[in-house]
Amino acid sequence: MEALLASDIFWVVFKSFLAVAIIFGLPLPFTWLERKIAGHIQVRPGPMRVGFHGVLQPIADGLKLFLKEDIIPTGADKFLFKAAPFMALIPYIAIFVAIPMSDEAYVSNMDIGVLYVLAIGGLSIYGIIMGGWASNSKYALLGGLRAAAQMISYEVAMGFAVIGVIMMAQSLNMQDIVLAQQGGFLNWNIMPHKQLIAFFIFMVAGFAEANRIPFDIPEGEGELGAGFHTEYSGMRFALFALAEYAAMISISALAAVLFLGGWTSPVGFLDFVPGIVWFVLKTLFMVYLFMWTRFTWPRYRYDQLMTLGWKFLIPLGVANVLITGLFVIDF
Amino acid sequence: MLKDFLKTVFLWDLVQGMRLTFRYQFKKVVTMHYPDKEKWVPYDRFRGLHYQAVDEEGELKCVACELCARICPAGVITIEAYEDDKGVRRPSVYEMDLHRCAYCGLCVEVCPEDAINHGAGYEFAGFDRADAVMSLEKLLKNKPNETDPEKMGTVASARFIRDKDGIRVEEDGKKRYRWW
Ligand code: SF4
Ligand code: SF4
Repeated sequence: MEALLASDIFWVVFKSFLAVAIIFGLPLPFTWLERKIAGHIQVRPGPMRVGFHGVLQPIADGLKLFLKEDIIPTGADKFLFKAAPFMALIPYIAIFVAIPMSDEAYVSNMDIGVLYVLAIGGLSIYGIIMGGWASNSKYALLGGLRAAAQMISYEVAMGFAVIGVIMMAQSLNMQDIVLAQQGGFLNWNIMPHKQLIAFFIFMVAGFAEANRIPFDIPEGEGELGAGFHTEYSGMRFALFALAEYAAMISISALAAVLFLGGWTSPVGFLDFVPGIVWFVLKTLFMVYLFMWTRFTWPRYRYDQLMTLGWKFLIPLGVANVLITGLFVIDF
Repeated sequence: MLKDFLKTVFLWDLVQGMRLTFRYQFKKVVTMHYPDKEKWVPYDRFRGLHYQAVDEEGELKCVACELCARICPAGVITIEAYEDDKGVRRPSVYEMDLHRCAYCGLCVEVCPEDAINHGAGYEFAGFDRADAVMSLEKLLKNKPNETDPEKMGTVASARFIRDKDGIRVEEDGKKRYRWW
């Protein structure tokens, strides 16, 4: 009994460390990837000079940011100012606790996994609001306020999208949701006879959650300087950037689990490939989608963003829940 | 009506944009890899760094008439003249402060001896303002424009060199292509 307990604790700690390491490690190659994709979309090569095709560029950037002075503006709320970047980053690491990467690779298999993920994901916005508030700068404050407004409108839509998935799986447990989509890609929630509309809503809301283009109005360079992180420099700024990437990764992973069948294989005869490979592939595809759209779309205007959220996505989400209910209900 | 509504809801115009950018990703990159691997070879009409021409005997063409110094709108050129042993007027000092130069070409046009000319050089970044002040010596070393129609207006493969003589990009002659 004693021994079992010790090894259990060891495993939980080990898995948590692994999850944190992954989330901290991934943004480096991803910044490179993003700049490469940006480059090729614009018919130019992207980073080329540091290392082979610029692969070492993120390390050079990191080093540069690390050596920069950490400036705290006069009149800033020092404690909040310092805490905000961590507040923005940590929730996305915490999300990974609940995401099943294969039938065995997960940190925790909670029965309320989906609720946990939504709740924790919503927390990270506090980091942005805190950063905006504590900076003692009008641009940062406006950025923070926009982030808050955006979060409120899109959390609702995202919730409705997820309700559809939960109704299909009849469970809040992430593993159960994956298992409900087993048996080839026809059973995935993304298929039109399943939850395609929910997927669409989820992705739009996900872009807004992650503050990515086309919904990056909290940092809208055009009108707000750099929005909520205007006053940040050096490592703290890097942490905000890291949080953005972590958000992108975790929302991609979430989309993979909820809509793309998680770690299940798309066709039966490929079942021998380990689940984690499928999970990583699907997540990468979603991340690519994030980057691809970033360099295609312009930013939404603030009122357009609100219109899309309240007038289209939320009614659509409600309709989706109702229709799903009609089909799923057990008379 | 309904069609428009559906297009708005499902962001159809954005989807079209994504189709376009996806295709762009597989196009050939148009970047010229200057200064690492490639270098632009200008046309013969290019108005680059000036050079002083010499005649067949290797004698300076310039007769220090100071017409160029006079017409220059930016006052780039300073000349001091002397009489050499053959009794010809020559410049003892011929200096161009190229930071001020507008590359208008008036000096080249006015020169009666075709002595001062525009060359192919466009790399003269330096660590000091004095680096851009060209003495007669330096002006004699500057490269004339490429006149070979095969070579001018091309992108040539090149090497980036950083040694005790400074930083420069030199053609290695391995490859050249026209970028269009
Ligand atoms: S460069 Fe030409 S114009 Fe100028 S002083 Fe010499 S000969 Fe005269
Ligand atoms: S190119 Fe124009 S500005 Fe430059 S030295 Fe000649 S006359 Fe002066």
